[in-house]
Amino acid sequence: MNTLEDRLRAATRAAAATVAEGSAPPLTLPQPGRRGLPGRNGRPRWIVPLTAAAAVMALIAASIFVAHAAMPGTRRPAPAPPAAPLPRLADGLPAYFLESSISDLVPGPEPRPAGESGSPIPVRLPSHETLRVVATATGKVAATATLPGYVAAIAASRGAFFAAVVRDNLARFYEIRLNGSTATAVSELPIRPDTAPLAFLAASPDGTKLAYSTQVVHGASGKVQNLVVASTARGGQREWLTPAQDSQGSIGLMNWLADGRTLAFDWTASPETPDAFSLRLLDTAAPGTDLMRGRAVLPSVYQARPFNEFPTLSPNGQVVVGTANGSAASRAPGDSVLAFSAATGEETVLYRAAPNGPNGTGCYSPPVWISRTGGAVLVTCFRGHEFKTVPHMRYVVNVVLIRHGQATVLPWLDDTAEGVTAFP
Amino acid sequence: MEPKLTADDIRRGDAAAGPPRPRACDTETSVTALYQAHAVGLIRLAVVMLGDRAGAEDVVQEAFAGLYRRWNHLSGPDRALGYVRASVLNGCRSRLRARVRDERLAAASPATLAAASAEEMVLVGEEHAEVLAALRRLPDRQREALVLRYFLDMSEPEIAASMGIGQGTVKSTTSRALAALGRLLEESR
Repeated sequence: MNTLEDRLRAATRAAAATVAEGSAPPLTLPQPGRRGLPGRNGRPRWIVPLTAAAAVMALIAASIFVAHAAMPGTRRPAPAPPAAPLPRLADGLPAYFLESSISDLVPGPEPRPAGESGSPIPVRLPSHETLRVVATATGKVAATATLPGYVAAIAASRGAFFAAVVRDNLARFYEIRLNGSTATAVSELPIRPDTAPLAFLAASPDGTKLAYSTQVVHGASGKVQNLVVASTARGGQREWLTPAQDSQGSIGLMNWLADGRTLAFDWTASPETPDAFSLRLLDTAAPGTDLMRGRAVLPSVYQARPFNEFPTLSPNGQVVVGTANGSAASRAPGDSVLAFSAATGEETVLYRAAPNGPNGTGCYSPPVWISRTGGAVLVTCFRGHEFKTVPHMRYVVNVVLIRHGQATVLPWLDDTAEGVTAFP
Repeated sequence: MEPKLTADDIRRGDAAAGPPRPRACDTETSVTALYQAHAVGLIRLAVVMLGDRAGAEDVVQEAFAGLYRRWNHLSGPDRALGYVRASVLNGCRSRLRARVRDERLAAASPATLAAASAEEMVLVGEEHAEVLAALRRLPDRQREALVLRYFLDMSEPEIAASMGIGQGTVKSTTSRALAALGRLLEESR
């Protein structure tokens, strides 16, 4: 038995094999009029008083009402003027970013029956979620925005934040503007709701376009719809299809370049071949609907370097930044944040995570923010700690600013490091 | 004879494996049929997560009771297996958290855990018991990602959909989890 993965597979199968075929006890279904199953001790395990349930439902309904009340008209009747650029700090960092905690595990989804395309959006999702606008300089929540459903993805432009929100199996798109420094204005965008499960969302720098990718993997026509670019003002949209020969691939992280027309996206050739990565560019202003019409950036670097996560291209298109696993292959103590010239492939080590004994350390996330030229990046790095009271591993995750070869931990942002963030 | 169920059967949960669309009065029959077809596989999944056969059976029973109550609210009976599988994972997570909380309150974690691992060592052997013990020491999300990936052989998009997280998060969570698992195993030597 060679690899840790092999050991894990063997151990889990050995544990599963302790449950013999045909050994499941009879199923006990709830009796009519009862909400609970008898437990092993004969007492109902989880009886929920109707009054409590009613109170919860009333609370949720009230929350939805509040969420809608906070979004006058919800659907914008006419295009709004462009949002003013959000402020920046003296060192170039955006003054605010949007943060969403990762939602809890929810039941579902299940693949659609044969003949339909892809996986459905999960069937049971939160009725509303609250996003936080966080001040980069302090880590304090400046304002919040409540969205009427499950927030599947968030994005940011220079002037506004965006969210894709799933409710009733439809994904809708919202713009969140910061009013002053303590309030938000939320409005639904006139983009056609989408039934496909969303994967990634990216806003053009000026906020006039949203790109989103979907996890649709099979189409009746032999092509798959993987990418949509929609106008945030009027809702007009274009779709790009993945050619049949590439239909097992999927789009990863996306970001718009500064020109506002070129979309950079990570491409995995097949979900089962994780090493087959590439970073591709697509000119969204050019005619055609072929997702693979663009070109790959630095394919040789991708083939030679095991990135932990999808790398990111700087907005000026000249620098690729990614985190590389230093420990798995070489037993090096920590991971590295690397930058490559998009033109020549020349490599620069921006940061090496410090050793942390047997509990390890690393930088697994893709950059959460990258400056226009790639000279400054924000990444999240972790340090492992043994939780002594009970055997449990915990991680302290830091946001680290890397600029001019210097790495600075921003501890006031620790609480946001494991959530999902969108920086302008 | 009960159909032989593999981890792959649980993973796929395809329409063919699920029950036909029932009339309303067939709910009990349909849920029971689904249980008969998949109970063993789901108990196995819960045993991997919990290391406790009795707890695993309870979690699966509760998941099917929840499915029974929600049957008419599912957008399609073919989604029932996905629903109940996610319910099993949720139930396992709740039980593990409750176990940690109880052990903390009772200040009895070493003895309890030692007993649990001793039982498992007898059943699966020392080498596997070590790996399983380390697996259960991981944070919830990491443990679930590894079980979905390496026990159920789910792809990254499938794990992302099941856990309600992005593919990038699946990749980073799995990487972190494997690294942490390796370190825990090294420590235990």
